[in-house]
Amino acid sequence: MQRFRGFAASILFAAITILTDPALSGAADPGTVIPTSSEASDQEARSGADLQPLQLWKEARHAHQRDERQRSHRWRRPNVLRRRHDRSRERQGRLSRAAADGEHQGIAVSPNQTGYVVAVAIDFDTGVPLDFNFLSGQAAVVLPNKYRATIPAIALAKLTADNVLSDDGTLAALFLAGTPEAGSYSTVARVLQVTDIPSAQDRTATLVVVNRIGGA
Amino acid sequence: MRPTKTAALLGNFKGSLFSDLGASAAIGTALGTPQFVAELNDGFPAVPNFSSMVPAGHTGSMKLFSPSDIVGVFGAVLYGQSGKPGKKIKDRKVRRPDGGVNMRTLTTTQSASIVIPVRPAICN
Repeated sequence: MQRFRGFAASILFAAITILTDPALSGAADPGTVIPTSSEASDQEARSGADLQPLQLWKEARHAHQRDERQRSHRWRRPNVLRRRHDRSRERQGRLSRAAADGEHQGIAVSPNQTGYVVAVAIDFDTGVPLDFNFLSGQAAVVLPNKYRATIPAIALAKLTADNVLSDDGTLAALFLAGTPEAGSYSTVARVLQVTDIPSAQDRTATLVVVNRIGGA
Repeated sequence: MRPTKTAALLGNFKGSLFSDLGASAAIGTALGTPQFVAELNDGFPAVPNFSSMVPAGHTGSMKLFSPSDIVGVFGAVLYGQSGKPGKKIKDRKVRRPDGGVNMRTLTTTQSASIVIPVRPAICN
């Protein structure tokens, strides 16, 4: 049986140190030119590793509201509501654990936090990544200030059935290299482009979100 | 391999902003987070600033990248309404340019990686 699971990284809006350099305006694109046959430019979700921005604060807020509602009505149907309450806490706990990257840091997802989710197809019994390249998804992003959109997940395909595991078998390395080797997935973007940016003086606001894929 | 602790940081992040008038601006930040979220206004780390690059009635384009080859990224752009919405609900619905898109990939890196924990799936 095949299942998949995801983990998330919770990231806050952080203070940004601005390092400006006028010479950068002429900087050349680094990296490898994307081949026309590559799926990396294809933003249709269709593979083993789905990468998508997600509003974790929204999930946390809704879980909190559910808990509040259930707490206020618990005296009416205690058994049913207690079970729902536990499930919602369990779901929130999974997100929090995911945000803490493996239950180590205990960082809770709270309002005003944003993040992204990496979902990986794994074997149901062993937990190792699978070359099951049929995942798809999208994120309904709703920010508290004027932005709302449905963003499709970005898909990366696992290229071989083999994996690279740690000696004790508790970790798996995913290499976004695009080569037919163990643990390898299709390549990920290094240079991003957006066109047709409207002027902020035309009553149109534009929000840019960039996420790094990586971690150990 | 050590246990998975945190998502990797964006670090130094650079880019270029171009206007339809032919001008270009440099973008540069040092980010201590894995995620960069910024509104395109004069607070955006571009020199010259955004409003002078893309004045009213014009459009622009932008490239973003990390100078490090090991940094794999993906991004999205969300559109909203910056001014005060109209009083009528009908006006707000018509004029509000909601939506968003994933950023287009210009080049890719072959050096990015990520380490995930291996655990059997927890189902119900």
